[in-house]
Amino acid sequence: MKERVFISGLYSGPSPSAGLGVARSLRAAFPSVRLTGVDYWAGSSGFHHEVFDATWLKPPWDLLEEDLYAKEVKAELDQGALWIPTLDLEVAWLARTLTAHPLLLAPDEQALAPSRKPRPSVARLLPFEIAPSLDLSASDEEIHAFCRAHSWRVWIKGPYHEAVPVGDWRQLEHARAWMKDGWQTDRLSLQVHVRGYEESVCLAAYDGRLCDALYMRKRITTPEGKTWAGHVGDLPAEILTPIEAAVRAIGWTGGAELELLRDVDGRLWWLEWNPRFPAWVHGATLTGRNLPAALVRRALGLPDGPRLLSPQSEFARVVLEVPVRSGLPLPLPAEPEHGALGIRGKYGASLSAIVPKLVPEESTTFAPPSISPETEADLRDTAASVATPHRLFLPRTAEAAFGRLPAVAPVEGIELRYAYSLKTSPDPQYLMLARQAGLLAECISLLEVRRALEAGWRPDEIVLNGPGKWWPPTERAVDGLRVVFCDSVEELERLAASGRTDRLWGVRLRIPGTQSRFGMPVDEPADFERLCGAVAAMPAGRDLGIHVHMASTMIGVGHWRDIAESAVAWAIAIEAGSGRRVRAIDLGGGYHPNDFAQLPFGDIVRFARERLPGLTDVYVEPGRALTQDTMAMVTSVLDVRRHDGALQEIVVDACIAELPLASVYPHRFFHIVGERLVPLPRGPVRVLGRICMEDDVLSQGLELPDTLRIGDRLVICDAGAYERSMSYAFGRGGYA
Amino acid sequence: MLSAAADTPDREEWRQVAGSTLAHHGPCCDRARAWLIAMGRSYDFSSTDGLAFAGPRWITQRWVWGPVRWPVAWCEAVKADTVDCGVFGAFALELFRAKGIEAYPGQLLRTCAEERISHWRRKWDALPTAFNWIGTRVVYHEVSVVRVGPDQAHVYDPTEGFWLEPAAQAGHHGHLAIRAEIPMPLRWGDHELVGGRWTETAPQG
Repeated sequence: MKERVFISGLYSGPSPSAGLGVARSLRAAFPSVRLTGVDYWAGSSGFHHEVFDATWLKPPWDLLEEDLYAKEVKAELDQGALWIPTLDLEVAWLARTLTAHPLLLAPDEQALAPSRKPRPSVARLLPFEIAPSLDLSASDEEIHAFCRAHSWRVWIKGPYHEAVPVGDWRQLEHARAWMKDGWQTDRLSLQVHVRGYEESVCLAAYDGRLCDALYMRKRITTPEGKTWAGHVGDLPAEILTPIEAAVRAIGWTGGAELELLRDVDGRLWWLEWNPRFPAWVHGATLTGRNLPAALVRRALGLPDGPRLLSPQSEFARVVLEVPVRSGLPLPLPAEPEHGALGIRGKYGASLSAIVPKLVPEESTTFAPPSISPETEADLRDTAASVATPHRLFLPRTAEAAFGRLPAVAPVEGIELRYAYSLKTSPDPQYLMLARQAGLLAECISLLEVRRALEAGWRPDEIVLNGPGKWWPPTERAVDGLRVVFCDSVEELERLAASGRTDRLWGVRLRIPGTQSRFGMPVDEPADFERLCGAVAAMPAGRDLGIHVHMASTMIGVGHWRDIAESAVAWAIAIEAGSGRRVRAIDLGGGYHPNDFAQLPFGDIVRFARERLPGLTDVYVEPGRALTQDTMAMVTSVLDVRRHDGALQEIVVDACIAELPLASVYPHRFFHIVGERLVPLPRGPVRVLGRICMEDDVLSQGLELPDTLRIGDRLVICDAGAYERSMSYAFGRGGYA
Repeated sequence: MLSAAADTPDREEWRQVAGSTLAHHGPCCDRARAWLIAMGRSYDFSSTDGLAFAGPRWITQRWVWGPVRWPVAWCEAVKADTVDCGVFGAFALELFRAKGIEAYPGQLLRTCAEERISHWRRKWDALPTAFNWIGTRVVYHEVSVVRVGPDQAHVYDPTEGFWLEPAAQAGHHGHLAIRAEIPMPLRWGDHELVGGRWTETAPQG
């Protein structure tokens, strides 16, 4: 065979392009073919492999003359050369730039569109589960809810490739900004993490007809998750048939890789459809299945080649040194800087240059925040008139929140008892609402106990918790409380010797596998035995309570349920180890207002009741759930800053002293325009606080009207709960 | 080809031995089992990840594999730093069953590179009461047989923390035969498992 084949994508680092593997596979099938390696960065080391007869070092994408390059590629195709691109972005550029050509072994625009992220329509034709995903054009409150619902096991994904795991809101904001900067687009998405084995389907197709396809299970991966060794096998019929149909339906030409995850329950999850051969494709060739050659044979009308898998169907990668090609010396390293060295991947330095050529110039619109009728009415009353910055209590919103306490039907006589967490918001109006709603009080100090008593709670309606609950020592340690939960074995031993007559004593547990400074560790048998010994040594006739607290706002709903069930498992273990009955389980607080009604409290009570025959009480300690969205901060614009005439930053008279958790969770912003509250979606304008602290940034970006002026008012919602109770005085010329 | 049948005449006890069970002293061992099960629930992210058959990976990370002085009781095993595959198997069985999963003791014969075996032998010789699991080229190993469907089984190796594939690879670490203490016949890939009977799994030829 005397044909010429151009193969692009020669980066051969730890996350390599497929060009070298494609070339080696073609050489194995066609010893006399003339192979030209193409890349856009002189540092792509695949240039130097002996498999290539010639090389094309094209300019980086920010300097490349696109029209000229398109003509050059077309000229080669017209002269009978084949072209196999292995860079995702180059495949997209070719599809957009060139009309389909029988020797361009890559998908055209019509084939590519159904395979694009985040929800490729071709996935509907395939028998795989689809992991839940969300466009990042959603409102921040919806994004936060999505992350909580999926226990913060989520990835931010770029428009073509790249995925970054995020575990909390700060990480998400950081990754979103970093990825937006790198890709120069807002077309990003979130995808739920799937716990599974990494597997792939590699296929070659020409004009909608499958040439060959195979299955690969990763055996060894690099720290970045890239294949380092794998097992190759035939596609099972239940996957092969739909793939043939999908390839036919979208008219695919070229190589492709479907990245999948197989979970331990046997479900196969779709991850991505990559529009080119995978970098490990030569590993499959070594096991007897040469897909690049199958593609070229089909394109040239040659009979199909052998397809027999060898009995040894595993491959592994190794690192080899090769001499540098004559006439193509290595690029000199950049002068060392303070920060990270200029590490370059598949696209050299020019990733950001190619993206604008591919992403349409349409601007992304973001969903605005929503607001309840009660909050809107509350804000209309006063937000336009108060001196700023001012934190408004929203009475209708608060009444609605306390009125919406989830009604959980008793399970065999066990009621879910709510204990209002005083520390979250100790303001009188909340204490009154909590009393009216029939809540117990949850306190973490003797000062809070005094406040609860003054508000009307009886001692036997108070749950006492926390590592410093007996502080201050000058305060009377009121006896006869409903439950006292100890934070250490030492505290439990002191309590047992105290002669107190509280209705119940309990222990707070540090659940293994979670990060917490609170409670008693139980992940060593010796610690567990010591705890059981201390419980067993309590005065005769005393039962026990178990307390756990991991805020569902932070860890998400599924993980919260795991922690709650884990608390029951530990209660069973402590009963077995101490001989004492567990009478109460306390599930703590930290619930997001929007999650509170959705959490499966009834299921947990039922789960506990079935396993703990002595159980009589289950407690929940809402504070944040009832109060976070019942206050709002009204703030005025102090400064409006522009760049090239466009709004870039504003400074407001509120700051992180009033909103210490501004960066911890998303807040809803509104602009007061006359009588109206105009919701502000995410956008390009940063909102800076008034004080001289680098981290005093109240929003990383809002869509603000160009007409915004100094003195305009904004409302920042979700400013209750810890935003209120942890706020402090700063920059006011004195102390609070 | 290595054959379990050919390589094990000097290890007849492997063919007769049942899956390892830990001794139970009384309340101290009740406490140890309760602790293990509670630890298992804490590390089992079944609601978080939505998986029914996740293996107890945490035990593989917590205990180091090595020789154990048999017999060993629950209260001793949980406090040990080092446990062998029999203890790992007993732990995994307890944890699977606590989750409501049908799991049974399983035993494997598998090949092992001879250059490794000399090291295992030295390590185990230092503890005379440890179980002698080391042959010339074939070794004995304990696993968990998990029923995942009416007649389907998966096999979990708690020592290494992975699910075995029924199609055995020839050579080092490939399995040659399996025995499951199951009350009903189950299929593991192409292999038919019958309670108490060794099934050859090695590739033929």
